[in-house]
Amino acid sequence: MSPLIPVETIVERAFDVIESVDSVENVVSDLRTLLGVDHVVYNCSGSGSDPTVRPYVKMTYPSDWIKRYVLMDYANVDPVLKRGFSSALAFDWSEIVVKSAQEQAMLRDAIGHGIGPHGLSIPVTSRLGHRGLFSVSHSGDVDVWRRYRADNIKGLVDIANRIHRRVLQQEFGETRAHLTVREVECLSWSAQGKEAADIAGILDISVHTVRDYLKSARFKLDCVNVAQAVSKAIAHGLISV
Amino acid sequence: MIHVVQEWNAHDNRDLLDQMFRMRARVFGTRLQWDVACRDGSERDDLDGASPAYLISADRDRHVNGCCRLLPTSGPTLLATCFADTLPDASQLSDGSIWECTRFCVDDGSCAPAVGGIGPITAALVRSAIGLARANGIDTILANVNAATVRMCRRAGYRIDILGVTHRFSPSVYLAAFPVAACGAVLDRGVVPLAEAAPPPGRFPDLRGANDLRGANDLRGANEQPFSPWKKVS
Repeated sequence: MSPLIPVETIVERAFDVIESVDSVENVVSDLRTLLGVDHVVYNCSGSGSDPTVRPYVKMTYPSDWIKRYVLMDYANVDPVLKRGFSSALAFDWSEIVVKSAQEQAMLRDAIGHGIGPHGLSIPVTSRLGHRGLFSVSHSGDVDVWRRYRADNIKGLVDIANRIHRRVLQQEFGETRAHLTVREVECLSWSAQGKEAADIAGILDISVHTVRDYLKSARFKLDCVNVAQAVSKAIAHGLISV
Repeated sequence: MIHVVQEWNAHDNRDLLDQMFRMRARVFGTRLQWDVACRDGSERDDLDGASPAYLISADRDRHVNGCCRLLPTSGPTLLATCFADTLPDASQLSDGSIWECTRFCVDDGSCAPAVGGIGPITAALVRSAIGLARANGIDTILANVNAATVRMCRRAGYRIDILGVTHRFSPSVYLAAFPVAACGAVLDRGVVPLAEAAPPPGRFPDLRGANDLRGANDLRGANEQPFSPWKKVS
């Protein structure tokens, strides 16, 4: 939980990892180090909504916990998974309402294996409604954890959406969305060296809105930053300079 | 009180959800005559199946009097499906930190205006949406609103950017973006109750000073035939 690197830098590095590292397995492993958390888990499934149907899971959990998880069929018990695939909003694991003795036993078992007790899960989706879940966990002091969560939630939401997008494109063949006229305009002005504030003046819209368009364009093009989005857009013939 | 209802806690809040769908039918189907699918007195569309987060306002006896629906623009949205023609740019914004707010309505049983209704319920819903967004790493909330709502929220101190406007509907529909950080600051310093921020009746809203699109101040078309953008769901 290194406080030394600014959050923006971590997010940009994380995007780079998600974009360039060869396998999603290595992505989660690199993210764990980069984010300074105990564990990183990404869940998705072939069904698009039920995480237990043709599950796609990448995680940094120790192998003895993974074996135990499979052996005990915890995928059908895990309250984090259940809540994650029936939520739109992110949630802290402390918000989980334990509803059965089975769930209680599973959570106790998890803590016994060094998982949690603190965690944050971020549900993600796609234009086609294909759902996923990105979670990070931490075992330290609760105040440290709360601070970490508050400082990093925005970045983690972005990272969660990025990794989901990569998996959907790589494993499930989802394609990129098209750029709109406004997004292309904002990228074109960026290509000419204009900052968001300049573009806001030129297009007569707010700076916040310019950032939204650039962010959306970056997301659609899977780019780490605006500079990369500009060069990708040029390479694809989406903008000309 | 505002309840946050999602799929995971839908079972425990069935009563609130049922009332909400019935209220939506009353407000959007009966009163506003939008082209929405009402069945057995309830209004639902495809996006209600996309696991949204609902904010539902109810009194102490759990009688529902207001609601709205939040969805991330990384997923399926009403904006992308129903406003693609009229607001081609902004309707295609797509990012996990940009959310859309739809089906915002208030019905407290009085004769008060139903949509963008002015009063404490609206105020509480707006505050909750901003607060929830802030706690969840959401940067921007997009909402289709009428001019009265824009003006009212601005009077209450919220910053709103107008991303688009279409005069094909009556009244004109504005796509408003609430920058969460700036709007959150309003919560911190205590809000002017929206009830007091209501525009005087019968006056056109003043949208000057907005960083709006050219033409956004042009309220032409206000007398044209109503035309509903909301597709009928088969």
